[in-house]
Amino acid sequence: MTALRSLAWRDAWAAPGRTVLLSVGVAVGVAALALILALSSGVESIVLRKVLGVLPDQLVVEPQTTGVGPLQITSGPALDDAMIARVSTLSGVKAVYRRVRIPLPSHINAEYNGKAFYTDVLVEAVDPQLVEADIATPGAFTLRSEADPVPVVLPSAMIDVLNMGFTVNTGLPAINPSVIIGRHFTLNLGSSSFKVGPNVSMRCEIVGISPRVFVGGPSIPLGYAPRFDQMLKAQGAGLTLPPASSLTILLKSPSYLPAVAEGIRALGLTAPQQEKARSVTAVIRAITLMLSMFAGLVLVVAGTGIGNGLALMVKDEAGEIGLFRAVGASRGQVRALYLMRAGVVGLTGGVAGGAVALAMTWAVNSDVGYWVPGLLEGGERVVAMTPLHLLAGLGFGLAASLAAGLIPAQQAAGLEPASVLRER
Amino acid sequence: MEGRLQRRQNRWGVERVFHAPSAFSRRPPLPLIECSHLCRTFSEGASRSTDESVEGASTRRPALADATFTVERGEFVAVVGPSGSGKSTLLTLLGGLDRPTTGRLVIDGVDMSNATEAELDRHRRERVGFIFQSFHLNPRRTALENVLLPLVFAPSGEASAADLARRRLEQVGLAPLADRPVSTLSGGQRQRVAIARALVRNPSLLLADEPVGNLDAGTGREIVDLLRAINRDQGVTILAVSHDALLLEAAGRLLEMREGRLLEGGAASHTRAISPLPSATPEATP
Repeated sequence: MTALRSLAWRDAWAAPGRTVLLSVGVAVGVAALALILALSSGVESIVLRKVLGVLPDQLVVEPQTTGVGPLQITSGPALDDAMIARVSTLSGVKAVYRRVRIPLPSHINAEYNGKAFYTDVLVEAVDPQLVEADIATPGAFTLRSEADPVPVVLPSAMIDVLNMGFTVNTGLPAINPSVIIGRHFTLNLGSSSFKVGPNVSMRCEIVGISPRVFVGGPSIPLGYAPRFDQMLKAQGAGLTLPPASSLTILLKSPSYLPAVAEGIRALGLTAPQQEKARSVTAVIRAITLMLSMFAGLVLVVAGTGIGNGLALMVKDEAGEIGLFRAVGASRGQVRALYLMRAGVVGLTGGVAGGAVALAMTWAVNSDVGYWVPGLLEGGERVVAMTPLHLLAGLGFGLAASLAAGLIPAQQAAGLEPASVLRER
Repeated sequence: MEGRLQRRQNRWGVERVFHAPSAFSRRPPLPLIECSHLCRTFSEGASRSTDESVEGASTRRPALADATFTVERGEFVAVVGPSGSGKSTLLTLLGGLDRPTTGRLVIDGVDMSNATEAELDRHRRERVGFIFQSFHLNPRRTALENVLLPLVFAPSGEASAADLARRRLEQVGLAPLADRPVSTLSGGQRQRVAIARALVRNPSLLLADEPVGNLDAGTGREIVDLLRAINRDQGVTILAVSHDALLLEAAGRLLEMREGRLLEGGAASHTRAISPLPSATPEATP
């Protein structure tokens, strides 16, 4: 078989122009397929992580609510201590962290390199253990005395948004942890562009940036919730905070996600982020499937070209095929020889297509990184090419080539040696 | 039972037991080729590969009719006859490239008349070497690569197929040109490459179709001498279709064919050709 492979390889490259021409279609199909799969993977990851704040190893759950727009009424069981204990016992759950949303529109006044910055936010108090890994100085994210600034963790998504808009528009350098950790800003709790009511103003210190916290504003240690409650009550806000407005469930591994999501539903809770993620993923995958079908069509067309090319080769090389049979080749060996030649074309196209896909991946990611700074921070890539995507493209390219080679190979195997040798 | 028991393993490791005849009981060896009332017919007007049994074939033309002859091991037999007399058809049957329509053909003890496709493949791989008038070499490949071709489809089992092929090229006097593309070789050199290719698997039967038909007289003489040496020194049986006077002279026996029939044949008569046939004008191989 090795000698046969070697013969097929030599024969295919005896006319390199023909082999290269036949493999162009496969290269286009393979490159298109690998790029589509990688683009889908990259876009899905960016949308889930950066836009929806979804991480593969965590699930954010809330009580079920019903209502229209901002008028939402809790319609399911509350997140009390008993419910939190039940959630903790679900199979696949590693840890459960409380989050308490401060239900007051608020705003931030900050300054960055001499430029004033204002934005409306919502504030959440979170279990410090949830963001422990993202705190620059261990222990800094904890309840402090009233005279000290409030430690806050900013969501990674907020930094990305600032880097995509604020810093680009103002011409300031991109924001990164080393630049903003330790900086102070003013948080006005209860005051925003939409509503100004009883409010409390406080100094805050940025102690970390985390992808695990609420994307709509800064997060403070859970211990501040009762203090804020008292402060706002003193201002006449009449606020009562629940033990938890949502929970972050850390999974033992991402593979537990479906089972835990099912358990959460059974407990009467909901995971709105997860629901959004599922919808987004479904849409992205539908688009991917459709685009992949186009790439598949390219491969089918390429395969037709290979089939025609090989059929012509069989016609041209009929005398040589007769000779192969005369020196002892079986029909099976002749069939295998021409299938291998189809394989050489497929492999050539696959390798070339893979190289093109890699080059285009680099070009697109560099371009996006240049035009949208910050989008690709944290290892994100718009075209998330992996060896698996390349292998998938190569595999389909090879399969299309081999399928296209079946008929010509059968024609070659069916030639009568006595007849073709006489006619040559 | 005369003789003694011998055990041998074939290439698949299957042990066979047989009686080796003693010196006192030695019988003459079986002929290499035994043809009995061999016929091959084709449908008129269709491709010659079309079997006569095709339904609806209106006219059937016998390319070979009732050929009966034997060829002993080590013989050098020339087949002569005008164009269309069935010479090439006979070669294709002997070479296992085609099957007879009727009659019996036994080569080296194997009945080829009812051979399966796999048996015919094995026959071509192991027993037969072909030499063609137009050489049938791949001009893009080197001489060595052309000689190696049969070993691609049937590995020799030797450590290096290339060494074996080089030995065959050396045998035909082309060792220095082994790595040259065939397209750069002369006609005589090309036919030597073809002979080396035919010999690379050590066949017991060499079938040559007008082996000197495309060569000038001097080169033709060299090729005939080479074939004669192979026949004499290696004991390879040669059956050559030719009209070349030198080759007919070199052959130990002539089989003359006319309109698909064998004029001289039957038992192995070892008739020595005295002179070329009157109609010995070179013709293109059909």
